[in-house]
Amino acid sequence: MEIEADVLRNADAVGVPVPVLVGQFAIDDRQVLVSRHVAGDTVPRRIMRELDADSREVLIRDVGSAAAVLHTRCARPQRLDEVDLLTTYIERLHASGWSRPVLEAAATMLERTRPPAAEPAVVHGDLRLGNWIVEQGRLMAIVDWELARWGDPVADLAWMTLSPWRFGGPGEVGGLASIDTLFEAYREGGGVVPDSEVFSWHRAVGLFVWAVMCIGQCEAHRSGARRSHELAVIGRRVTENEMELIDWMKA
Amino acid sequence: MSDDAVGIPSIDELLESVVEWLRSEVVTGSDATIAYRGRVAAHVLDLVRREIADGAAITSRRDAILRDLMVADESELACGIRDGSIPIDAELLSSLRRLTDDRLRVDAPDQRRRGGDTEAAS
Repeated sequence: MEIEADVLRNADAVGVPVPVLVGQFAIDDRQVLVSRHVAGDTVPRRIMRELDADSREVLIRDVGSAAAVLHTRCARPQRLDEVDLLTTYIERLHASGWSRPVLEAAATMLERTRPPAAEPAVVHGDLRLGNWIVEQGRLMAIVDWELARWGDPVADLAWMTLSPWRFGGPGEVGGLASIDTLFEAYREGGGVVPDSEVFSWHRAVGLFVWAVMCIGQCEAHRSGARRSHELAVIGRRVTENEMELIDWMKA
Repeated sequence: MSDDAVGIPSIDELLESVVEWLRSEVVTGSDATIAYRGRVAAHVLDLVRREIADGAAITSRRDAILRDLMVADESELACGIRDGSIPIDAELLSSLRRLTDDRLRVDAPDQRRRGGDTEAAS
């Protein structure tokens, strides 16, 4: 949480739209961050409903520009750890005890085909529709920075194109607009656009990570930590990621 | 699948009746959180109904695929892939696709219908 505060401050300092921190305190051992109020909506389907095709493009351009600023200008907070996403989630898969042949094959193929890493940057970690505060069709703030890390920035771009974050919409990015729209704004903002093979590797890592996160949520239920039918059934969402991973491996 | 052992209404009819109640009264209710959880609950029961209907056929197809790959179960397959003793080649990927496609019938039939290059598995 303290690291999250550092990231928020550094991101704000270079103009990434974030909630502006005004205070920070602890209740028992829990850190609480207080930010200035940001007007707007985060609910994906409501945001999608309220935007026509043109304003959807505008929103995704906002996101591309913000990501470019984050990845090219935001200073690394001292305590922000470098995380290799693939290695971390392969370890989590193996720690989960789940036997999933497709995920094992994907892990092996992803390791075998790992492209050279881009220049490391502050990565948000969950930069998707749902974590964008949107008002009148414009991006007001990016929230939920608890997965922020120092790492390969292409991961942020790939993550927002995963199927679960399309919420049934037609566009590749958050169901709203095309990857080209995202890339164009990202390039104009100074970001380095990955080539398509590198991008699809990162997208496949995203599928793998999301699959392992689904396992983790299901296990939160099964272990008794948080009993809930919602968490339980998320375990069945692993399959849809596996099918997409097979498509990637075949390509 | 054998005929329902106990009688009428069948397991599927009982589950369906609960799904209908969830969708008609819980999902439409005024409490947004309960409505959402009700929608998820109906989704869970529909998934269970699909598994009850197709589970036996899926299991027997899975066992045949695993036999062809000369492994006893998916755990052995996963371990073999992980330690490299089972190579990741076209044959393996085709087997994995058939296994996954069958799982999708239960877990996410909508995606199965959408999937462009999903081979027919049966």
